[in-house]
Amino acid sequence: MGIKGLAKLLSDEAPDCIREVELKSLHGRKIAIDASMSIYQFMIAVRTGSQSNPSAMLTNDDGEPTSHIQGMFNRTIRYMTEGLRPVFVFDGKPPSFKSGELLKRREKREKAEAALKTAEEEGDVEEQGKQSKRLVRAGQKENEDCMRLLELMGVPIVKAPCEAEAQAAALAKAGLVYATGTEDMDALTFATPVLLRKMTFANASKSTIQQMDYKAAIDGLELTHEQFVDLCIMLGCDYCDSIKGVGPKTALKLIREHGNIETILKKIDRKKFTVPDAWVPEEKAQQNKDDNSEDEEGDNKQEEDNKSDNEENLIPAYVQARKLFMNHEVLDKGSVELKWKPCQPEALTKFLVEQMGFSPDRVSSNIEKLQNAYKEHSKPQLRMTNFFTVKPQDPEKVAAKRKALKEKNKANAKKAKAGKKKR
Amino acid sequence: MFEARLANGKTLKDIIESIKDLVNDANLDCSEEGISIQCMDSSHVSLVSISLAANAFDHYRCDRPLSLGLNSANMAKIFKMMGKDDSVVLKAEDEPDNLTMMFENDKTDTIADFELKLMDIDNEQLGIPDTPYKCTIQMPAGEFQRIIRDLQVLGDACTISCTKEGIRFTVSGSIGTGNILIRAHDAEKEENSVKIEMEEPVELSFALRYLNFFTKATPLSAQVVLCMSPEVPIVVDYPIEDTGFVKFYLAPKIDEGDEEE
Repeated sequence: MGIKGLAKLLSDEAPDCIREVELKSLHGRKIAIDASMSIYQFMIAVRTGSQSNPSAMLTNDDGEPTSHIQGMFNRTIRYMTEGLRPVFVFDGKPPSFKSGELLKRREKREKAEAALKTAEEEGDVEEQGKQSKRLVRAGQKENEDCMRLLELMGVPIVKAPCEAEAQAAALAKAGLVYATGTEDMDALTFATPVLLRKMTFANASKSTIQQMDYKAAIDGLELTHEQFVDLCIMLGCDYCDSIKGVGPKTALKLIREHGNIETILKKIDRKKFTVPDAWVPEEKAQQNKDDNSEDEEGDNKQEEDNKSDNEENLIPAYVQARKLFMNHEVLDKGSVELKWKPCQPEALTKFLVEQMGFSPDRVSSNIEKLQNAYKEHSKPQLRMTNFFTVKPQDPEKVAAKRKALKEKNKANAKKAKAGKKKR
Repeated sequence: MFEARLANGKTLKDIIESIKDLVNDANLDCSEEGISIQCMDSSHVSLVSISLAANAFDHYRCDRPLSLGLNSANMAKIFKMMGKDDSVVLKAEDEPDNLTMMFENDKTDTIADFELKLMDIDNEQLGIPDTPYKCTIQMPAGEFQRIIRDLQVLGDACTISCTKEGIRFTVSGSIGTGNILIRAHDAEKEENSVKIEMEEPVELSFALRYLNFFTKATPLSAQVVLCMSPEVPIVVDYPIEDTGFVKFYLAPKIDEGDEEE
């Protein structure tokens, strides 16, 4: 999921782009939320279970899971009460190029399934809960349930043609919403102007949200958008493998030095760093040919196979990934309509109580909350920045500050090192 | 080096007291001309702008511009220890870690000094254009405070409309509605009169919660000045004699549809 180590890299190299903001400060903002990610979270987090029973999902009388509905319902009300205006974006079909990553996930699943079976046989409750969480999958039915729920709540939904993060980022870029709300760092690679993370409110009293600013991020890293995308690919994304032996620090250094992946591949020591085969398909093809010609009685059939694959395979994996990040299939700005409507209390009650088996009392009190929130925020509160422009900061001051910070970090790192040595 | 002595320390105490509930951390900017603060609340809905000119002080020296990052609640705590008639001295080095606050009382011959730790505050400064407003209302500060406090019983939002007739505050909530109209009039005492200057009628809606925060500045000034124009923030201005002011800006609530992004 996401980009490996990007959050850490940003907090080290471009600290200006990350801010902790209070939930309050987002009032009136429209936020595109990655629904698929949320559903997944709910199915893992919203559970019953005690020490002696393995944790299980909430279900209705028919045994269908309702964890996601419970979570989605409560969290959406919480958002609305705080004055946020959520738009939920659902995943479409995965990009064909992601199949490698999906395959890996499937393997993990199979492993977990096997582990669950052993745990059940051994009666290890804790292990059972752990493994069953690994088996959670947000399928078509869960998605449809949530869409139905949100529709009845009067909250707009967007069905992305492809990946939800990409669609959400596109909405934010087009100015239809203020930010993308997901844990997935991908959204930043898709250049959402603002990324909001940790919008879970697990802890009600301390509800700060992590806000990441795209512009400040690439400025802080001193990269262009193209270079930033290449950096994300080097760090490791969902769409292809990355070079072995290149961590975040090195990746950033290489990108800064060489500008793009093509040049890096030419320059780096290929013995030291293992470049995945998919990144250099021509070489691989060449190598295969060499192998085959050496082995005079080489399997002709295999050679043919190679040939037919070649056309597609000759495009290096990182180029494909780059294409996905730069031009992702998204809905056009004009074809998306975001409208917040009052909820439909009767239909909503029917859906939640009869179909999902929720307690009628709790549903009715929550619906009341939802209606109040809708009413209270129907007249949005504007902010100062709607009227007054932010004065640019004194560049000299900013530079001085950045330098001071860097020195401080260095000093801290030295201290840490010295501390380690002593031990 | 920055050094400023104010004979009437209470003014400074009241200023800090008036913003401590609205903003947590603020930069106190000191320059040759005087001291000033500009800061938004955490929701960025309102803004406070404070200025106290150098000539308000008995003694004022500021060699180079300084920005002192303060926690308003902590500063208020220190001011709590100030006597009623004390004078205040503020002192800071050129690259300060602390702000020295001294309270002096001539009658009891006491000097108390405190050091408040400073911090690095990164807040956005807004450029506020100096535009004329369509309506300017002067009224007793105490009266404004009472109205805002009373109306909160009824609801969260208040519509302020200024017409030829006078200024009207309207609230509607789940228990009912409320309406207070004040007509322009001259009172015997200048500070009790209500004056309205108006080019065209204006009607705007505001969150009472914030207006209530603003009225914490009431002790600073006998009269409050409200400035309004259509579709821009209201200004709630508490002038401090001729030497300074505490001005609050509050963004209006608007009807859906004509929302600006």
